[in-house]
Order: sequence, then C-alpha cells, then structure tokens
Amino acid sequence: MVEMEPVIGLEIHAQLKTKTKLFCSCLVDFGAQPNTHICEICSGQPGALPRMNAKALELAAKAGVALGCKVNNRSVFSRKNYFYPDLPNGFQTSQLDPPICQGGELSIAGPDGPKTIHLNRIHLEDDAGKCIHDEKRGRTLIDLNRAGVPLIEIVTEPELNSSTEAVEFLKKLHGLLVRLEVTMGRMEEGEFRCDVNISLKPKGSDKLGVRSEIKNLNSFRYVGQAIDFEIKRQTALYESGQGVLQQTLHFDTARGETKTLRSKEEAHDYRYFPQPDLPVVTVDEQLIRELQAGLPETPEQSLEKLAALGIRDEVAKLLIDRRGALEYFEQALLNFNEPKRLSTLMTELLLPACQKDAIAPTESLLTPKLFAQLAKLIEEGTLGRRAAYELFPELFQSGLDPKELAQKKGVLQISDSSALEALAAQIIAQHPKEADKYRQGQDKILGFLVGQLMRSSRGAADPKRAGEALEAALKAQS
Amino acid sequence: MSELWRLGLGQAYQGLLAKDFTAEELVLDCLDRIKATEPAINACLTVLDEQAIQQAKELDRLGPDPQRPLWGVPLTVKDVFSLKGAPTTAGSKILENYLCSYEATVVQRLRQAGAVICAKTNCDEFAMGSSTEFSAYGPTSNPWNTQRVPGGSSGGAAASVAACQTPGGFGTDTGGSIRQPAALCGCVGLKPTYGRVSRYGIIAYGSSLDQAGPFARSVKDCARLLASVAGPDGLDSTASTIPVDDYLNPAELDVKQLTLGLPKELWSASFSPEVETVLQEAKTLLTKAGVNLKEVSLPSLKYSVASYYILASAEASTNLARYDGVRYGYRAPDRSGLAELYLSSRSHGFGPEVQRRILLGTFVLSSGYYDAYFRKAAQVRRLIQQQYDAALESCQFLLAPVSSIPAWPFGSFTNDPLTIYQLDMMTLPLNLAGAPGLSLPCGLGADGLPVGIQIMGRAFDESALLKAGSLIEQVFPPIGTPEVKAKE
Amino acid sequence: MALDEATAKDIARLARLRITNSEQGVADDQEVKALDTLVAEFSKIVGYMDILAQADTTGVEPLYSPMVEPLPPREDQPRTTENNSDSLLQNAPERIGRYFSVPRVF
Repeated sequence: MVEMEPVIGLEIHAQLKTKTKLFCSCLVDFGAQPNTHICEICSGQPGALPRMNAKALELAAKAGVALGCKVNNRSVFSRKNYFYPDLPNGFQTSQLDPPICQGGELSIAGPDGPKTIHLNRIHLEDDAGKCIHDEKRGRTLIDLNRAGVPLIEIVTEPELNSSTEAVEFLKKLHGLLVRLEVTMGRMEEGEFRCDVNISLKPKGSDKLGVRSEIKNLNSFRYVGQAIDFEIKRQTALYESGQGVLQQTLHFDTARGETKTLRSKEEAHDYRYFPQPDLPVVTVDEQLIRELQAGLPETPEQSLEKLAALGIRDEVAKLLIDRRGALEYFEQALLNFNEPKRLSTLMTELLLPACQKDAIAPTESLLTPKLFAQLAKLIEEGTLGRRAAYELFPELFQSGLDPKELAQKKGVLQISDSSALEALAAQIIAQHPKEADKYRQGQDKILGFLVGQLMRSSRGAADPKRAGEALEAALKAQS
Repeated sequence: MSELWRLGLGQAYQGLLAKDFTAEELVLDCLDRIKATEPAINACLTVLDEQAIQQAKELDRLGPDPQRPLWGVPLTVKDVFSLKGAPTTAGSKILENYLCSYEATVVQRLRQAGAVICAKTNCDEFAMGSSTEFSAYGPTSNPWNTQRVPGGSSGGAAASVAACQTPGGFGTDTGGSIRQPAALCGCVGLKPTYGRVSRYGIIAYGSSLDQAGPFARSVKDCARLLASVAGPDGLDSTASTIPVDDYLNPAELDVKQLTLGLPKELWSASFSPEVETVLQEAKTLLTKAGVNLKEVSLPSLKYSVASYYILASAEASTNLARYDGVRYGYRAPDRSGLAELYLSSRSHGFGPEVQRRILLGTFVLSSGYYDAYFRKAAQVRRLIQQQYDAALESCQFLLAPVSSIPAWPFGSFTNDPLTIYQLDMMTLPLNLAGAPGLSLPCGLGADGLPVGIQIMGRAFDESALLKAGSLIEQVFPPIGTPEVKAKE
Repeated sequence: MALDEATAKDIARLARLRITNSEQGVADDQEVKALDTLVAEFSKIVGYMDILAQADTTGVEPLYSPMVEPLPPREDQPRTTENNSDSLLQNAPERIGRYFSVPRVF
C-alpha cells in the first residue's frame, strides 16, 4: 500500500458586518423573535425586487484587498436555483462568473517553514433562513430572520495537507477578518463557518482522488475532528480496496463521525444564470485605493516592525496575537519611547490582567499614556519594581495616575540626589560611631547605614543609590 | 350628467377639475358600467367598489387638485400589480387566497397622482399567454365580439378600457401583452422602454423583458398615464436613472416630416385577409398624409420567437420557484412529506401553460443545454438589439403590424402552443431590444373586429414616440365604441 | 432536438412538477402531465428553438438585460417604513407560533 496524503480545500462563509441585509433594509438581528425582521423582499413575496447594500460590497472588496486578491471592477450576481423551505425565492443570489474577487493568498506555518495557501475566489451571496426540526410535532419550523443576511464565501485552492494546517489557516483568516471588521466572526452564531473538501492521493502524485465534501462546520475543533475522521475513513476504504464515493457529508458532532447527506447522483443542478433584477456590481479604482490605504498592517509586517525595535519574537507575537495589544503598545510608545522595556512590562503586567478580565488592552481603564508613565517611573528609579507590581492591580482597576497613587501610598522612591544627600548627612550625624568605623576601613558597616537610611525614608529610597550617597558623604567628610 | 363612463381620460380629468361632476359621481358611473358589462366580458377579477367610492369621497372632500395629474380618475390595474390588502392572483390558482402586504410602486404613484383604482383586471396566468384563456378564473371576452378572445396577457385591461369600464388602465408587456390585446380590443396601449417604469411590486414573469404600461382610448391619455408613473425608484435597481421627459408637452413634430421604417421581416408575414386589407389602407392613409414610409431590414428577427421563449421561460422558471406552498399561496394537503408537498402544490396550483414554460425554462438552463439554448438566445438578443438600433438610424420610428390575425374564437390554439408562440412574432422583438412601442387602432376589419398597428422608437424617447403616435392617430378613421353584447 | 424520457423526468424533478407514466392514468388529475405527452410536446418546441443554431453569433456578447443607467447600491440603513412581518405571516398556509411550518425535512 502506497502512503496516502490528504488534499484539503476550504469554502469559508463569513457573515459581513452590516446593519441591514444584503438586498433589503431589514435589520440583521438574530436575537429577535422569529420572523420579525422580514419584509416582502427577504420573504420572497411575489413582485418584490432586491437592491444591494453598498456596505456589503465594500466589506467584500476590503477582504479581497487584505488577502491580496484581484478585486474585479465588474462582477455579476447570479441566481443559484434549488428548493428548500428556508430559501424564500427558490434561488440563492450568489456570484458565479465573475465573482467580486479572484486569486489571493494567506500564509500559514507549515511543517517545513511558512506555507502559502492560494485562494481561488471570494464571492458575495445572501444567506438562507433557519430550519428548526420539531421532533415532537413532526414539522420543520422556518425562521427567515437570517434570510438575506450578507455573506462572503472564500474558496481556497486544495493546498492544505492536514487538519492542523486547515485549522491554522482558518484561525488566521478568522483573526484577520475580525480585525478588519469585515465580520463579527462569532462562530457559535454561525457568522464564520466552513465546508471542507477532502480527498486522498498517493504521496508525491499529482493526481487527486475522489473527494467528499463536509458541510457547515462552525468550530475550529469540529473542523479538526471532521478532517481527521474523514482521512481515517477514506484511508480505510482505499486499504480495503473499495474506493471513495463522491458525496456530500454532514459531521455528527456528538458521535464525532461524518454521515452521508447526499450522493453524487442526487447532486443539484443549480442552473446558475445572471440575476436579471440586479445591475452589474461595480468597484471603482478609487474605492480599492482607499481600502488599501486604510488596511492595518499584516501580522508579518507587524512582526518585522517589532523586530526592528529590538523586541523579542515571543513578546512580539503576544502583542500581535492579543486583540488590541499592538495598538495599545503603539500609543504607549508615543509617551515613552523605550520599546523593549515597555513591551516587557506589558507582557508581565498588562496582558495577564487583561486576559483575566477577558478584555482587550484598549478597553482597559489604564490608558496607554498612564501605562507609559508607569514604565517611565520604573525606568527613572522613582518607583521600585516590586512597588510597581504591588501597585498594578489597583492601577489597572482604577485607571488612576501611577505617580499620584504611588505618592499617596508613600512608595515613591527618593531619586532626587539632593534629597538623598541630605538624608545621608543626617544618618551620618545620627550615627557618628558607625561612620568612624567605616572611615577606618570597616566597609561592611555601610550596610547598616543604608538600612538606617531606608528606614528613615520609609522605603522610598532606592537602596543602591542610598549606598552611593552615603559613601560619597563619608568620603567627603574624611 | 349621464354616461360619464363614455368620457376619455383627459376629458374626464378636465370635467373633474372644472367641477362639472364629482369624483364620486364619475367613480359610481364607472362602477355601474363595470357591473353592466362584466357578465359579458369578465374583464375584472376583483372590483374594489367600496374602497374606490370611499377614496373618491375623500378626494371630493379635499377638492380638485390640478397638481395631481389623475385627480379623481377611475382606473384599473392588471392583477399582477400588488395592492396592499387586496387579492393579487396573477390569474393563478396558486395565489387564490393571497392578500398583498405591500404596494407596487406604480400603484403608489397612481394614488399620489389622485387616481381611484376601481378593479384588478384578468390576465393569462402569470402573464403567460396571448388570449387570457390561461387565466385560472375563466377567460375574458372581446367587447367587439364576445365569442372571441381579447388577446393577452393583459386581455382584461384591454377589454375593460375598450368597453369603457374606466377611461384607463395599467397592464404589463413582456412579449406584447399590452400592445396585442390593445390591438385586438381596439384601444391604445403603450409599452415603455425597459426600466422607464418601476417593476417593484409587479408579479414577475420575465424579469429582463417585463415592463408596465398604460391602456387608454387615445394616445394623449396614455401620455398622461405614463407621466404619472415613469421615473427611477429606490426599490427597483433596474429602473433607469435617466431623467423623465415632459410627456404632456412634447416637442413639436410635423407629420409631413415623419419617416417610418417598415421592417420587411414583419410585413412579409402572412396576414388574414381582414387584417391585410386594413393594414394596406393604413399605409395608404399615412402616405397620403405625407408620412414617408421606407422599408428596413432586421435579419435576425427570424430568430426572435426562439430567443424570446428561451429567455422568458428561463427567467420565469426561477421567478416562479417561490410558489412552493411554504409561506403563502396554495398548499396541497400533505400526505407524505415535504417533497410531495412541493410537487402537489405546484402541479395543482399552476395551469398547463405555466407548467410548460417552467419546464422549458428549466431545460434551457440545465447543465449541458445552457450554452446551446440560453446563452445562444442572449447572443441573438444582442444581435436583434443592434439591428433595431441600426434600423432607427435611417428613420425616426419603426412601423409594424401588431397581430397577423384579428381576435380569434375561443379554443382556437389552446392545444397548439408553438403556433401561439409564433403569433407573438410582431411584438416580442421590441421586448428583446428593451425599446418603447405604442399600439393604436388603425381601422375595423370587414369582420367588425379592430386592427392595430404599432410604432416603435428609441429607448427612453417616449416623448417623441407619443407625439408621433398622436399625429398618426389622427390619420386613421375612428373605430368608435363597441356595443358590448352578452355571450349567447 | 428530440427529448428523451430520462431528460424529461429530470427536468420535471428539478422544476418540482409532477409527471406520470401514461399507463398509470391521470384522468382524475388534469394538471398532471403524462410523460409521453410532455416528451412529444417538448420535442416539438425545442425542435423549433434549434433554429438558433443557424444564427452566427461568433464573438457576440450575450445580452442578458437591456437595463441602462440603473440605480447604484443603497446605503446600509434600516428601513423607515412600517414592519409588515405580521401581515406576511397571515398568508402562511400553516404556522406554529411565529414560524412558517412544513412537514419534516429529514
């Protein structure tokens, strides 16, 4: 038996972040009572006509620009015809040829370094309603609140070779689209879901095997489980000499198994044709330029930039991965231009605190400016590291000025040299015997004097600088 | 005053403004006329008498308003226009108990213009047909001879206006459904440019071909009706943003400077002797009046019937997918599950012609046949549009017959779909080109049935088309009003 | 082209229209088409459509719609007109609460 290798392609549906549906002005709101956000258009009444939402178009183009696609100046909506009770018009309005975006790519970490996954296309389409199966009554209930909600479908080339790669790709894509505010990406709400195409081929061969398609997976974990199960199932079929049948599958999350939804013979003939109720979709160069200019940098660009600032890889990755961390860092940097110290302090204090409260740094009461002040106080020696750590929880919760709080708590260090000198002179005057012993060469006695100074300053002095001040005063008096 | 129903739309409007009679008086008179003629012609599916009287009273209370171009004018609309709270069946059993939850843009604009909608008129089911015989609610009769069809699909609208039930009405034209019944019933019908009038709220047949337009008893009255509804609509993306001309005050045109092109592919068809005679006479009258007639050629017209039936049926097959018995309309009793529910509801809800076109449309879009039929038909459509535009370079308008035969006896073609499709040859090229056309009576045949003729113009140039139409209207002899006799 | 029975059946299935074999009898059910009638009628109509094959359309861009200067897309703003969902639900042949309902899908 030759070694078989899985070949995986993904079709990702992301719900676009708009206020209203794709072709009508009904609100996008799933929390509502069933069938309240419906109108003659999204419920498929006789005579109703669609009109496209400009925001949905912009978000689809934005995703395309961010993923390096060719955004088409002209694309066309088509009707995709099939019957289903949650499909009010008897067709879905989707795009066939040409779609709004073509090509594009996204890199992931592969087993042998970075791996580029190419995209085939991105197209716009409307969502169907929701069917709820009522076992007791033997009826299927239909809620059309979701019918007509705008989606993009992102189709990859079949270039992924394991469940790990597929999940890594999805996580990265999800992160990007959420950061761009193309989608809210709430997977439990079905706002980001995917179909997986999977086949096996002999390792090293170019010839693809018969593929199956697993529909509608809405968690990263299920994607991983479904792919692993399907690889095992297909491998077993090949090993037993049966071969794989082309079919559409459903993943039973409770059993962790794929189940047949329909076979090739039952496949739909969607009879796509240009939707005559909608004009050609146009995206002008101006919009593409604006979207390009408005794009946040890619994680790769961010990583490069942080490395140039001398920030270690692990720290940089944390700043990039945590939502809002990079923006927070960049704002703090404007107030205290010590990238290394600032980033280290963020990973030690701020990020764990944010994670505990499940908020983004940008949502914290402690503003980047205040955080920069805190870092500055430590750097100047005005605030001891330990004092800073002890003070932090309160600062984080209250958003108070770090210096004021430290002062109030009396933990501010005396770093002012004249104040230290005065204190040193006072301690020497109070302890003449010990001062004499030091002058006679008993160096160890300095520790005692430093202790006295620290006590007298109630801990506000920096011990190292206190020692230096005492030494200087003793030498000057001898 | 008596017999107000005889007044043309413009006359009625002037009389209302001058307070010669009230809106209520006019509406009541029209409702009486409907009551008197319906047993003979069956033109209306729903008569909205209570609403109409109430609306007329309300208008009278406010007093005549010259800013509203249809103030107090009674009208009808074909039963494909959505009218909130009223039944809207499109002549189909599948929408038997359906009540509309919203209003078509045309209806809204008519109301804003002050019109009083008195009835919803009969039509072939989902506007598919040329005789109104495919209505699930029984055929409409031709007011000139109630043994004969009124044409279709807007046969109810044409018969109603010809029988003077109201001075005007609205229908839709996908392949001739306004112009052909207007010709067969002896009234004027206008099919505007595709996109000149909003399609919002009009039950769709062929979305890239459908266009709403008016019926009246004179060209000027049609102009008044068009002026009240034309223009862009935020609810129909395909309605054009090109500004609307002033149809009531068009630029001057001299009949002696008119050049009309006669497409030889249409004039060389074989006509019934009655139609042939009237058409020849019409040409003679035009020439005498100083109109310059010249032959033009649109060679691709020989493909137009095939192209049209493929495209219209394809669009219809998916436009009608929404009638599935799930959210509204007829649902067959479900004995064995959802699949059965779909099949039974649709097979019993749709009539034979609609099923035929759904099957044809499904076929031409299905994999393996799409390129040879659907795409090819759309390419031919481009050729026809190009040849139509080219023909208008050498003349101002095209002049063509509307129907090669006069109104025919019921049942002549019901089992011969292909022949009836081919009868549409005169009218459907205009829908393929997306251009405007006006059908008007040019005489009565020896059989006492009206014969119509159509002029066709450039896209969005309804203003000139209507002006030219009113000039040639004066050239033809008036055909009078039919005496509506009940069927024996 | 002449249509075969398998294609006719397939088309009817896609269109969700019932056809029957004529020997099964359709006397009580006039709207339901017999397969052989459908095949004959269809072959005639489609046969006529084959005239299109004669048209030289080399390099001709299909014209799917004659629309001119259509409307631009709308702004992403919620509707200001009255919500008509209740009246839409009134038309449902079968309802459970605010849901449309049908026989079970699976």
